[in-house]
Amino acid sequence: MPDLPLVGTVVVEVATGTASALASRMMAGYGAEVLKVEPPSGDPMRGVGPFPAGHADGETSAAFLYFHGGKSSVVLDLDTAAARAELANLLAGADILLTDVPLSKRESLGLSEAHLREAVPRLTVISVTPYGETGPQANYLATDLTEAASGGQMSLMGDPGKPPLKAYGNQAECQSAFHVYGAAMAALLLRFRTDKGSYVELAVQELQASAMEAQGPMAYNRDPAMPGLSSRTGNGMRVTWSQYRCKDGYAGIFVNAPNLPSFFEAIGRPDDLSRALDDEFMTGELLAYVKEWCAVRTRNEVYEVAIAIGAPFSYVATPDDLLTSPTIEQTGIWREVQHPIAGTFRVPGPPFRASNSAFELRPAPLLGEHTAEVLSHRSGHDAATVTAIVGQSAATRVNAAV
Amino acid sequence: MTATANAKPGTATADPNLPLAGIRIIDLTMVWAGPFATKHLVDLGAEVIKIEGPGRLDLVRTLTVPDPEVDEPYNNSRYFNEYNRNKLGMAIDMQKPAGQQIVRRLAETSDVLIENFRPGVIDRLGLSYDELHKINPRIIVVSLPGYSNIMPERGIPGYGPNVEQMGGLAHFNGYQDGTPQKSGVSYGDPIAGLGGAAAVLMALVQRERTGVGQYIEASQRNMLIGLVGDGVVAHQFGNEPHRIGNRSRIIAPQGVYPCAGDDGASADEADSWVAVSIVSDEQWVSLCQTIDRKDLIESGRYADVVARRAAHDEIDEIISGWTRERSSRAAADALQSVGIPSSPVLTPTGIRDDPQLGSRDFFRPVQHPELGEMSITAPTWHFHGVSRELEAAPRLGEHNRYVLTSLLDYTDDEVDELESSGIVASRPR
Repeated sequence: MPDLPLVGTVVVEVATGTASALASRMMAGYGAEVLKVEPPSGDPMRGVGPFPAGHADGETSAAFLYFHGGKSSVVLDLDTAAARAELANLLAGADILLTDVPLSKRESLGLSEAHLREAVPRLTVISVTPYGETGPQANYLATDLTEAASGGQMSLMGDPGKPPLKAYGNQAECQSAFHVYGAAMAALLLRFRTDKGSYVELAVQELQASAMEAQGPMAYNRDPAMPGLSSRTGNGMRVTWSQYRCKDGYAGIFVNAPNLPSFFEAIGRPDDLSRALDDEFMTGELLAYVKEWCAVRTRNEVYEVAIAIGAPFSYVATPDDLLTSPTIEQTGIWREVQHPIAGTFRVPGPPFRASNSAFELRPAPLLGEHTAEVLSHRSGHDAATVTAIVGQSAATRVNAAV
Repeated sequence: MTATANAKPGTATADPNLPLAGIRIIDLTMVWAGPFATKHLVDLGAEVIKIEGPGRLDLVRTLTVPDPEVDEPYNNSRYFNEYNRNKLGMAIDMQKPAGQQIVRRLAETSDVLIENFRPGVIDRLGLSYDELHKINPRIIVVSLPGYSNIMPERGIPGYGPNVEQMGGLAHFNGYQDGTPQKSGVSYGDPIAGLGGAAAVLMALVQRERTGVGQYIEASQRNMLIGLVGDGVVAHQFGNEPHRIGNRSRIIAPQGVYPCAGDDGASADEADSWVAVSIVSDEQWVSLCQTIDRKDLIESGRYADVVARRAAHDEIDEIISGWTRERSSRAAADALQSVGIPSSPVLTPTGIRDDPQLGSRDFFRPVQHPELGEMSITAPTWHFHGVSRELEAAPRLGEHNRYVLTSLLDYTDDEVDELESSGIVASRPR
């Protein structure tokens, strides 16, 4: 019987970035209890949207609903000593802290490495910062754009002759989320042996710079750049490695040497395999042919050929394509969420298809929805004490939500 | 028998304080995604046994070789050395029963097997999870397919850019009102690699409680869908995303602006850029002061984000006028000094020369038998108080004899026999 791999694990999230958010969402799905600490005004992502028609209320941001699914919301105004003491209580009973609080603020919140090691030696801390905790730029400010810029991958994205292009959303932090998740798991493993927590420092810049395909290792060793590999190549660099316009959208033909036979067969010209090294043919006659071949087909027609022949062809899937694909459905990725305000919708659920690991998600929490429950359960406070700790305005929200 | 085939691993593999000390991993992956997964696991102290075949070299062994004329170019790839550091290397002909038998015997004492063959291949080799589970109930098997093991997509090969399209990310990527755009690196690969590493680590945690392993399919496409989940929710709310390039839906201005080259080249020629985000009205004021346009503060024309968004093109021109006169580094440092988020758009070379990364020892020297001292990146998961010594990637089949005689109980005579019959090798066939 599949079970929840992280059942019994308590995670405290004192963070606003996507890296911690997406990682702790995965932890929640896999069974951890994730306590998301929010200020009385709510996590900034609550204000980001997009929102469903008729809403813009901090409870229905698409980004928040996705990235914070499955968690409990605990409102603590960390500007107050009482709330900071409460955070310390939560950490005393937790296994993992995820934080991206700016370094300059950590000590005052009781989140410095030295303090945490002393106060909660079994706690694992995954600390995410844009540039790491040492060095001349440790305190530099960052946004999703500047994080992408500092990591290197962005310099290779976009069309030649146009500016470098940032990928959708915050991919610098999205990729970092897997690092956060993996590092937290590794720390739990270490604790089985040592009974001690770990402090793990992750720098978003380094995480990207370590994933620079072939271009990084070459440049890092001062090798001359390979033609076509050192700058932006847009949506393609050769006829067999490009995005093409088709009847109802865009298709992709991304073929490496072992797939050349299937490529030529798929486009109906198997005899031209012998000309694959003829540059004039490939960049002239064949390119024109492939453009036309795609232009007269729908995305599905291109894909049907890929299935029939086993060629690495693809198409640009829209959200609707993803949600209606029977094959994707069959992988078990979707989870239906029933949210009290935003209604019913589907979200990508488990990142893996696992024979023995279940993944379950509650909806993303309303602001402060779990403050009273968590504080009374974890600290044994009565309602009046909780009200005193979280402050009157937040308590109102709490009571309304409970 | 060649000298290298008898080599034992260096001392770097033996630090007992690392999180994965004592964990043995059979790595049947190649190219980027899989080796990137096991790169993280070996950085954590796992013993990773990378198995290739004499006729099945990791394809990147022959890419990025500085001097292709050397005797063994397949041992000299930069790409290969970066992502396969510290691993043990074997070359086994797994088409032959005796080769499969070696892997099965290794599986008896291994914690993990990870592979990125086309779906179905692992079953044909007799190394499916069901088979391995019978001989080692604790083993964890992780597959990294582009799509999934489900028909009809199980037979389709998919590279990073294919999968990025099929996973929806390409649809969301693009210049303002432009076409879908593919990533600059084969983005699905590092995502799949990280997901694969995370899957292994999660399954190891779970095994502490359950005592048994499991099978995990970490689909590259599915993991990419998880990176656009907010867009999928927004779509169900009736919000069709339009592409916005480097701009933001929340703040303005934000963009990349042309700069002079570090070598003094003009901004028109340098292809050098600085990224700037103005996240508050206060930062806007600081920006105007820094670029010597106090008149814009006094006029009050762009005082709030609504006004700035409406005049984004105009403001971009103003900022560009300032950035074009300086290098991207000088521009970013000037803006950071007044509290404005900014960074050069670092190229691979810019990463190499970056002062922040340099100050953190991001590049580590390792000795390579032919390439001499070369540079690989440091482990990125900094477990404070624990360090990892690094060494170059294995030469083809470098640790055949070590693994067979020290980790398994083959005799030297048996290894000689395996070599002469071509079951194991240290040169390509």
